[in-house]
Amino acid sequence: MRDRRAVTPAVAKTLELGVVLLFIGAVSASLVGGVAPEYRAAAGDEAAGRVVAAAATHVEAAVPVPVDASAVSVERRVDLPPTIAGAAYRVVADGGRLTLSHPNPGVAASTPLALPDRVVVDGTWESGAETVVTVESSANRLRVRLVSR
Amino acid sequence: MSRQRSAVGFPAGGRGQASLLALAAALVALTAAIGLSVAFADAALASADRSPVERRAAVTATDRVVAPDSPLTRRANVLDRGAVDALTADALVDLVPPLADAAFRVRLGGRTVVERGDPVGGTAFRRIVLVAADAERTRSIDAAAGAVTLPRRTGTLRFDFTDSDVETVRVNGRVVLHRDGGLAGTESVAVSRFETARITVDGNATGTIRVSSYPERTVKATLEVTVDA
Repeated sequence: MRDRRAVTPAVAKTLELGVVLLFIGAVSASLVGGVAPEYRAAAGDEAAGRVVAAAATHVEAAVPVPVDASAVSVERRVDLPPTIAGAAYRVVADGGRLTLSHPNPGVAASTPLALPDRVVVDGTWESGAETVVTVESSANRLRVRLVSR
Repeated sequence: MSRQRSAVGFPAGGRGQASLLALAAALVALTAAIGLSVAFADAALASADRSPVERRAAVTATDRVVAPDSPLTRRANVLDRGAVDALTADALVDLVPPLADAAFRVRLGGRTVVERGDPVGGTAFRRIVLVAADAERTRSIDAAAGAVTLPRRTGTLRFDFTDSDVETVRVNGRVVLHRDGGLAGTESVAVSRFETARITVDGNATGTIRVSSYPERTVKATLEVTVDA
């Protein structure tokens, strides 16, 4: 009886330790493995939508209002967040759209640009670099470029 | 010894289990707390959903519609009533590409102009615009009286000389129509929209000239674009 009594607390503490470790392991695994990345992607997706909407508004605002103006030279800085969901990304102008491409496939956004027909847009912004939008008139059209420096 | 223990209330061998039970209760409480936090975070994320793309489409749509180079405007922020009435959903999407994949509704002064799909619960953006329409005003001028000033400015004047005998018509001192032996039939003249037209005829004129002017009337209205992407 006395021998067993001495063992009881040790067994109890070991059991408790094991249960707590198991619990912490399970909770950490579910948070880090499932919930956290999911929320990070969801928040990043929201941020991406906002970034693309703001970038498109900046690009449209850079084009001067009398679109048939003959000599145009505009250069404007556009501030973009350096990372979304902890990773660098790119904003690409192609086919009259702005598209955000991100290494995480859960983070994506794209919007068409509302610009007059004689305006062509191209170029790429790398997040973290100095991002500039330039507008130049050339051969009866306006050329809008996204430039990273 | 055994009497002592039962007096305290812990039977032999039950102590470890009792503390395990307490631990289990604590862990259940902790799990509930974590679950609750995640639920709160979920609700916060869901309520932060303001759909920036939808809002941008609505703002851009109003911007493009009232732009000076838009087919719907006469000048910046002044919509042409006729062009607005003739607007179709496809023409609007052509003007505002961000509306391409969305349900939208455009209302002008509370009246729906264009609608595609059913944009329930979408984002609405409003701005105040002027809506311009031309009203034709025709008046008869006694040619013998010599001069008349039109009360409202107009871009075009149309003269009908059927019942008159007039050789020369001046607007603000400049000769706009002249024919030796008398003007006949109807003539249209473009005049400046930026000054009031004073019409004078030559001193020997007789009869009655009918003059039509097309003054622009503008009314304020709220342009509302609702987009549900």
